[in-house]
Amino acid sequence: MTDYLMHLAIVIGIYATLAQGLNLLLGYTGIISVMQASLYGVGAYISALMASQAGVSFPLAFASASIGAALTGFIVGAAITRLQGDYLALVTFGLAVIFYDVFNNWLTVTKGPMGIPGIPAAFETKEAWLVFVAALAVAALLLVRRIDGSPYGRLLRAVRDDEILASVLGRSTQRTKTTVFTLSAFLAGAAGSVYAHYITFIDPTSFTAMESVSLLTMVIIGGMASPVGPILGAGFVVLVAESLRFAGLPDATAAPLRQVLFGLLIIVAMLFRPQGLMGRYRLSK
Amino acid sequence: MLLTVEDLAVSYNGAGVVRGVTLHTAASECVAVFGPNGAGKSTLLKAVAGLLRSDRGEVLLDGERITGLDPATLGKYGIVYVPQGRRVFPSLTVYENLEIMLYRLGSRERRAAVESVFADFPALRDRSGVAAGRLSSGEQQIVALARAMVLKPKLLLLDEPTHGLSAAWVERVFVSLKALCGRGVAIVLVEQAVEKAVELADRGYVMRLGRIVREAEAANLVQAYRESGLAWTIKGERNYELSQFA
Repeated sequence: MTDYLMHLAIVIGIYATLAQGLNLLLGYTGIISVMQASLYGVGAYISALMASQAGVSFPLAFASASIGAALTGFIVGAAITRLQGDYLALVTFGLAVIFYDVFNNWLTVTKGPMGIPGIPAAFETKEAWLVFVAALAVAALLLVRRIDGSPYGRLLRAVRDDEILASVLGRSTQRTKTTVFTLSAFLAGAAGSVYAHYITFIDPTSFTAMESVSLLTMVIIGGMASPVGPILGAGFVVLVAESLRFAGLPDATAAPLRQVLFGLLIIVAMLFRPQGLMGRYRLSK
Repeated sequence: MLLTVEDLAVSYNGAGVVRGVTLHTAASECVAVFGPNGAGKSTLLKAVAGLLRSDRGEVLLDGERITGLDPATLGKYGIVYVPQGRRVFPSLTVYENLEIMLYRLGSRERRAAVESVFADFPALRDRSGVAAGRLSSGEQQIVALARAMVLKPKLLLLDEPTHGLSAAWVERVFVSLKALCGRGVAIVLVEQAVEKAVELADRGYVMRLGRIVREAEAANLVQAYRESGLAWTIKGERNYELSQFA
């Protein structure tokens, strides 16, 4: 039982780190992205390939995954952030589909749907994993808190409030959005690396657009533009999803039901508490 | 001459909106641009502010060509544009709205710059911790002016700063503008509150269909406006109202 609870805590920690990155995009900058799981996947694959095929150590694989995902985020961000609002959201959806197809079909590298098994675990005990993941989640929290109170954080919120006014006042909103995309991808890559080395197996099904919707649920439920919100959101969503496990449903039913539940949670939050549990910002109507 | 605009032309999708406008502003001078809706006033201001690309013509600041420079670069030259309608970042506090442009400065310098603006706009000091979105429209416009002043501009480009405000707030905004003029800031003002603008401006231009059709000293502006072929209906003693073409 303790093992199971520690496992849940580790998963929550990984998702909290991942959701912090999305919080920077959605909560602070107002960018709806459904490709956060894709960048998570980029980190996971980089780390898995480096560790299992090149035999590099976890710290190096972890750093490479974070930087590789950040670089991917930078390139994607630079290419798409001249778009705004719904257009930008749609483009991230298109990119999520493309990334999934690459993970699924680049057989020589990703092994496609077969996935990559036997990724070396970074730690041998759950306790060690828990400490590491908790430290990572706290580091992500501190980073977002630091951004929250900084001139850069105010700039992000200014872009979210009125991108045109921010650009009229001489701020490069495209550069701002590109940097936040990069930061967000860095956190996604770090979380992806940890996930790969914790589960020791990855395949494309963990990095779909629907996974990104789960992440959006975490940020919205926890509260946008709140450093603590994604942690609460990750905890809430993971525990709600896990509770289905005890309902005695077969896997084939539980998995789609989980997605339905996430959809319902977003709808309920939007209707009754659009700022989430801890948020200071709500998506405009 | 501080600002010189020469033969500036701007079009939207091939349709000429500003058609060869020439105007100038001296240092510390307040110049108003009048005209009916669709005359091209706001487009002219946006082109000078670097938000629209001109088809032809030049914009010069102190004789130096600044045509086509983006707003960030123009800010370094001391030109600040205050757009119509978009006044504040609603989720930022008044203080944060004022310091948002000072990202290159250290925290102490930022605080000093904002404090100096609070000295000019004392009413904002009490509201500094309030989210700007909670302020009235008039207060938000004062924040927008104060935010522009934080940058210590040489030239302010103001696009209808009293649009949508109550008469009391129109009065207060013009009091603030008068104070700015008295401090040596040059202003190019596009404004529908003609009566107040005439009181403020040193000189004015009347635009019609994308062209300057009259230029006059402030005292002669009313006459110039009438001569430009635009009706200027007088309500009561002092309240003028623009109408469409005569």
